[in-house]
Amino acid sequence: MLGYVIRRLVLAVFVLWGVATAVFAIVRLVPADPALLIAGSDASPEQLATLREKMGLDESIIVQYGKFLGGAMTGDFGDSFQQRVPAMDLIAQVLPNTALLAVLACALALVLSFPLGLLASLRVNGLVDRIVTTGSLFTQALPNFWIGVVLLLVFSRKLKWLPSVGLDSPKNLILPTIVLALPFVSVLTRMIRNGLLEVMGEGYIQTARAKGLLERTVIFPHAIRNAAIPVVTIVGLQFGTLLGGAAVTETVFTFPGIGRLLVLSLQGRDYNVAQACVLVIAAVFVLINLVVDLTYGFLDPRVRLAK
Amino acid sequence: MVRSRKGLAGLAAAATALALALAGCGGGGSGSGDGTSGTRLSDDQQNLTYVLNYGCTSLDPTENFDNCRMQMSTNVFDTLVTLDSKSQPQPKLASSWKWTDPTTLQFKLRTGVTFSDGTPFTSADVKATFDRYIAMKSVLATQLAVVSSYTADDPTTFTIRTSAPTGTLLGVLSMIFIGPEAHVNEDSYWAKPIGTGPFVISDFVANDHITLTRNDTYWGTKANLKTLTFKVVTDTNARITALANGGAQVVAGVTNDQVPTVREMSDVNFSQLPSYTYTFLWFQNNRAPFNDVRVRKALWEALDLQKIVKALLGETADPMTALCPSAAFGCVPPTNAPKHDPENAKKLLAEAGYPNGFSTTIDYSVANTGYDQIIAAMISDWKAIGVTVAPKSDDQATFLKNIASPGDFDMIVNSNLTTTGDADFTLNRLYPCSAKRLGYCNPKLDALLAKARETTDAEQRKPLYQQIANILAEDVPGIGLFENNINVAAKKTVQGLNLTPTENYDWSTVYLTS
Repeated sequence: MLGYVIRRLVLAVFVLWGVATAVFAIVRLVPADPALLIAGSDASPEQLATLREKMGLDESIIVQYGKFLGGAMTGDFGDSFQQRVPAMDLIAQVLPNTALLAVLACALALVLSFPLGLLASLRVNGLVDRIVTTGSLFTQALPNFWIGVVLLLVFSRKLKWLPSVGLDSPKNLILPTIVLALPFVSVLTRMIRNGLLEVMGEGYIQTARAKGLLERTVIFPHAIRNAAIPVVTIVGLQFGTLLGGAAVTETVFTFPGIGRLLVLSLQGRDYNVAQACVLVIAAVFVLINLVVDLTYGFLDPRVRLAK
Repeated sequence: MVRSRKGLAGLAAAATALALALAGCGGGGSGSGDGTSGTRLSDDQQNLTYVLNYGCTSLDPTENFDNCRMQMSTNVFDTLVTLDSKSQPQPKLASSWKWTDPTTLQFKLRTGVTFSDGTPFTSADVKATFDRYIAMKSVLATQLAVVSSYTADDPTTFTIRTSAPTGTLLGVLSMIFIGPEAHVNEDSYWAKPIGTGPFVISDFVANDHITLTRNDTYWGTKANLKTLTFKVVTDTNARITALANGGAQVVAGVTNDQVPTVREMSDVNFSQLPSYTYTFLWFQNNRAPFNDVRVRKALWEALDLQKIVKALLGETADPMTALCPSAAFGCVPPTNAPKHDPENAKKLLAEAGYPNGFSTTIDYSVANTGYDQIIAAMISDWKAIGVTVAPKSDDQATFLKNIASPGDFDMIVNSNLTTTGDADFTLNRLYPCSAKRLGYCNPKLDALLAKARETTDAEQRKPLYQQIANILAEDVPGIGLFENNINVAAKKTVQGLNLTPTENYDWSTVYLTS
């Protein structure tokens, strides 16, 4: 087991190094001059040169890369070009907001998908099953930003029930949580439905029924528990995706999260912030993956024995 | 055929009328509400959010004079002098000033002023601030190039000497925001600067928001608002939604398609004012085929700007023929501007050696909402004279790289602000040979621009700017497309907001009623 953990950790370091190198290259390959964005198109060449020097962009790419990697190892990504505070400070301000949104979206998805999946599985191809499966395909096919804009128009603009911008009150969390949870609900519902159907055909369910247990007792402790194992994996992975992948939703709702910070820093060619955002998102994702795999190993001995 | 623009007097009248409209039927300023306006909200509820379409990349106005920094600085700092709605200098940190000779300007400074941290304001602060602006070598430093020396003679006297008589100096000084001597030259101070103004910065996230709170030690009339948030929402629809659901009380940049929606809102006032913002097209004058004036003129004559602007921008903008907006001093329309004439345009192209037209590109930034449609309409006008133009939309960062000196584009469209409200600021910055922005150089224009800057008498400057406008219309280094109006929607509970053509409003007089 220890050997497995060490192998996974070494692999994680390589993954992060790869991500770091890719993001370092990508932000610099996109045309534009960060100094111009700050000083404006009327800036004098002298002012631009001074700014580039302050940002460390006058040094060779190799030196910049070395400094970036060295700093990244200690969690120091340098200062934001624009705000002149450490990039990690900016991330620390917004990461809890994104995490909160991800937790809420996961919770909402779980709360909705278990009953829906269960209802659908009770009578395969019944009316409820058809509505749930079609509905889940439909919501998964809708793009995030579109759902976001429609919800804004209905609940913010017309009904005026909910705020549309920022994070001034808990009400601001409602619409983005729904938008992020919807596609997740679709995936989970179908997964729980199919998982339950599969489990229901297993021998131990037949045994349980043969013992004369109530159908309720057959489903709840026996079937659900077993059908839930793959759900744990998916929730873990999806949580990682939500932490990094909420950029579009955060932008639609002008929500102060890491996704929006990443978008803004890329638009502003704020290299240090963009690099820090991508690496933090990647690190969280790798970490959650690792935890999920290890948990799985603990839950199911076959996984760790196979390694 | 060009719709006549109001003169400066008309502009001032319009500004006053708008201020009154925004203030409800009660008088403007900070007077308490009367029968028609609601009762004034308690201090704890005096929190206003102003939603804009542009954000600040940094809070340092010595670095760049973009709209956002100017807006913030106007409320956090003070300047020596401030321009009134007629572009006339009024006292601010300077209580009085006089030209002791044609090149020496002496200021008497206000006493009893402190920065928001309690440090007293003296002439040493002014001197240190000048050091900063000049050391930054920014665009404002160029405007200050005429200053040969400056001295803090005693704590309340500050003297500027210029290398030549300069009619525009006080206008430039209205953009110099005074910081404290002890920190103004430190970069770290500008991450969260303090000034002597009516508000202090409490929170800033680049391109997202700035929150200001009232400076309770302000030397002048204290601000009415407890907090003031500038919030960036780039999507037009989302801005209007914020206004509808109470997320914002004032919204800037209402677009033409949203005007009917805003007018239908019963609790909202929609106000307009000609601004110092305008939109223009540049040719790369030293790149073929644009190095031939006949080609540039043909492309102008091909455009039916009256029709395009009216159809796509409605009342939110007006067509123009000058290269700076008529709300600013000296920005007069040329008397020799080409008229819409596609037939003559074809003839000009043939004379220039392009009887079958040519293919080229036009560059613009996606940050400018609505440009897609306008440029598509222009492209179809050019198509009619045989010129095929491919649109090139770039993100703002890429766009800036293209438009910055020396200018990497065939044609480019952008909007700009004549911040000082004086033609000199725009024309003398962009069109002299030394500017190297669009490959254009006419020594005769340079001489006139220099002369107009040196002339201190406004009446004598006017005919000079007419000559300048006519030379620009004849050379066609670029085309003035339209003058943007300020299009502001505000809840009727917002009182005391005075719109100004710079779009930098003094929020200290604003308050909220129920």
